Amino acid sequence: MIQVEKLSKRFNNFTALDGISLHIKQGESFALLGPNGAGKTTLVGILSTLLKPSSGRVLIDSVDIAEEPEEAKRRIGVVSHNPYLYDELTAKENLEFFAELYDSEPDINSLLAQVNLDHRARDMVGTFSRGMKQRLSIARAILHDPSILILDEPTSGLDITSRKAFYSLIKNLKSRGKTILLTTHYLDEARLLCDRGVVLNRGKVVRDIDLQASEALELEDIFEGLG
Amino acid sequence: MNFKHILSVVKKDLRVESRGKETVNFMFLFTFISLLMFNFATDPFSPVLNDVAPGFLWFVFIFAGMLGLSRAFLKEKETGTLQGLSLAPISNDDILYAKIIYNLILMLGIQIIAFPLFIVLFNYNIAGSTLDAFLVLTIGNVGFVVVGSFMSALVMSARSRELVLQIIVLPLLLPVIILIIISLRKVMIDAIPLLSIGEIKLAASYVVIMAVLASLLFDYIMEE
Repeated sequence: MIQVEKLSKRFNNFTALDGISLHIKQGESFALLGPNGAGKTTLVGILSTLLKPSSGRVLIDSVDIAEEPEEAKRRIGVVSHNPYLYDELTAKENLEFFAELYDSEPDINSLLAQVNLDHRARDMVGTFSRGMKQRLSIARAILHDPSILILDEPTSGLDITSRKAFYSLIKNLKSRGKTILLTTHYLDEARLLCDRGVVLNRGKVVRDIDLQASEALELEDIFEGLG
Repeated sequence: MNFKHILSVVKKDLRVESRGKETVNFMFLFTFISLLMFNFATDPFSPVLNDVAPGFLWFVFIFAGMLGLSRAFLKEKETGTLQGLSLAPISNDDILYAKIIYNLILMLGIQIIAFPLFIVLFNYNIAGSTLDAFLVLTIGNVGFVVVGSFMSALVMSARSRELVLQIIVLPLLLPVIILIIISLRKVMIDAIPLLSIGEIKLAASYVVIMAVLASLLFDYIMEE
């Protein structure tokens, strides 16, 4: 569960987020949509504890991220367009390293098998394609079995085949009851992976959207209307 | 402070460095070439060498160390893996301590090779204890690494960061540089035992103060 209450973030005179409130239920798949500069990345930065809010509060599974950031970090996994992996380490070494930081002892081989990389376990990540790195990035994000998965434009720059493989992995995690928060520029991606979402513009929520309803078909018009 | 997390990051950094050897090769090469250049530039039988040798030695360590320091945080920043570290439940302090230990290991590696090389190349006779001279250099390297690692983190988002690092590190290191050169002279030329040198205690105090300051301010640096 993610609870965002009157969240604001200012960078000097620029207001990136302006009093945003959201409630994302356990097991829900939720999309953050909006044009560039809408505040999606700032919101994800705060939810993943990389940024501190100027005001407001965020609860991750009832844990206040400002008061207990390390506990909150144990409940979330983040997949971004940057895979956050070390090219000079093998796939297995990367996962072992992050598992140590989470004080977790996952079955690394099984994790690699889940993302179809068990045959490349001992290869350097630097030799992987972008799609393979993103799949390994999912394994990194779920190795501590978080209840919430934050996906920040995870498929940007991926070809269609890699994107489909990525969607299949996310759908699998969704079916296992993970709460998913996705930011994306691809409307079809949001419809495919998420049930509900909001459109952000200039740091504010401008619209709630049921992505599975016919209303979703009008998303392009909403985006164009935002300018 | 979580020693297990610190150790994991240090081990990871050493493993990454051992695969690429980008930093360590440059540091060793710079050290070797600098010592060789100084060797050719000076007359080994001149009494002047005695006076300038401690400065030479410390100069080589500082500039070789700069090459390593500038990579400690910058490489992780450039590849985005620093953000990956911040997403894990490891405290910012532990990341800083790990980087300090990693840099110190590199510096001690350089010191272990460069110090005997210096003595051989310059046919240098240390008047005091060789172990004391080695320990003075080690304390100086600790100070250099503490201040330098923190500053490396401070400038990681700046433009022309590798240049900015050298510009802000050197003035901050000036007290340590001067105190260590004086201490080295006292050990290497005047044969004064390490524990009788007041300057080394001053240098150690300065390092402790900088370490506390770095620890207090590091959270602000890590927030983007």
